Amino acid sequence: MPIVKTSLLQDGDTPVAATLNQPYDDVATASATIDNTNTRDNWITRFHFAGNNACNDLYTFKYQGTADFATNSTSYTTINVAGLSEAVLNYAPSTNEILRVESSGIVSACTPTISWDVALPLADRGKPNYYAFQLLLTYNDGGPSATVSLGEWGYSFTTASSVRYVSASAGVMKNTGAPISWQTFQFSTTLRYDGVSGVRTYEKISLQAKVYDAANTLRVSRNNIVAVRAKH
Amino acid sequence: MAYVKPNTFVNGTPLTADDLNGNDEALKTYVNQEIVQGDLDNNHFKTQDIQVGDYDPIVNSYTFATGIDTGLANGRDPIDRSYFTSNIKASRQTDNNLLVWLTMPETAPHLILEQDAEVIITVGSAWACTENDVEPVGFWDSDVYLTYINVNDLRTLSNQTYSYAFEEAVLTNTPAGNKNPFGGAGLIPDVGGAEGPAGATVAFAVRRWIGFTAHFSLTAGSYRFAVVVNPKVQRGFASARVFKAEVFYK
Repeated sequence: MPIVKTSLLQDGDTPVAATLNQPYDDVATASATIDNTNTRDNWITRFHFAGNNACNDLYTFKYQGTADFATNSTSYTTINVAGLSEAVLNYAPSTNEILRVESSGIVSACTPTISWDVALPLADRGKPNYYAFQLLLTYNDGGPSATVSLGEWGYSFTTASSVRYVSASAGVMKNTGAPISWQTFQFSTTLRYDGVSGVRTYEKISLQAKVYDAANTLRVSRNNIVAVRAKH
Repeated sequence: MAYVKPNTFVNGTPLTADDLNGNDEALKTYVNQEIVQGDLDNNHFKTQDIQVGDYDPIVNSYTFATGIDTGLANGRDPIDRSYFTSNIKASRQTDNNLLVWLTMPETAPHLILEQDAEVIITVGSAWACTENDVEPVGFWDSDVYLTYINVNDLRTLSNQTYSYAFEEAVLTNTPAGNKNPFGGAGLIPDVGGAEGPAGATVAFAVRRWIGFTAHFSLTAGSYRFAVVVNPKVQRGFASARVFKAEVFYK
């Protein structure tokens, strides 16, 4: 509301009703829409926020045990040690709202049988030595749910360089590198929603993994997902 | 609810003190204590209207309206290293069952939660455990955890953070009861052989980066977090370290 003004009365003036009523009427009209013209900077404290999670909200998944999930799938599979690694969201973001996602865990005793390339093409050199994780967002705009990858993060099974390969005639592979097990993984990403508020529903975020050669086995033990919704 | 004027002045009607005072009293009451959420304009207030936080440079902690943010980032120079040793465990330095937790410096913020909160701790650090010279050599795994001590002085090891810092040895097997840094059932593959890695490669392969993100739902109170290690090597250290604690008030 605007700053409320009063009329200046001087000795001998006869006040009229409009002059007397004006400041009260101004306040009555304008106090329904108080804005920062009427407030001082930094006046909003935590206790002014409406209830729990007014500014941000967290959604998590945790597996904290010591069992592990093994995969030799060359397509992404949701990690499932004692239940799927999924953080359930189920909210409709506002326009320009930010979702921050972090994930971490540890790979246990992996079995990298093949860490080198045995064939061309060149573009695939080194791939058997890789395994990768993906954070997959499932959302719904009405109708069937859809998915979008929030990012992929790759690691190596061994200390070997990723650019070596052996062709059929190249002979015996040398220096395969040392395999790496019990290695932590950790990554994070952000996503901004640019659509119309309330149209899309974020359903869940899944932590997935894959290998690049089915002869290798990746094992994942403890893992977690933390998603932070920054409301505005 | 917006202000409501109790009395309306009319031309030709004598002005009374009660009417004038009544309007002023209602206005005073409204301004002082009756402005409610519904009176505020939607989508008008900005971050400049929110209470400014307090920065404490001594502990690098920023406390603001919706939470707390604190942490550090150290480089990998030798002067940044944080050492640990199994020597404090006397004659049981590599014992798998004797747990003595050493706190890693600069990873132990004291968080005072003014109300219930969600807490995220993000840690990343490079760990190295040099080869034992007096104690037996053996890829010893030094357990690494994030812990916190709550208002009741009870230590909680966070199982969502367990990790291992391995001794940089050149061997062909791993002691019983220890994690094998190379996986498998105990033997590392063909060290120095035709297809295997060289010894130096093996030693370097057990120098690990340990990183994790941990989440806690905590009630209001005082908490001391720390990254701890149960050392099984005579000399180990964490060099480059990133530690961040974030508090989100509910």
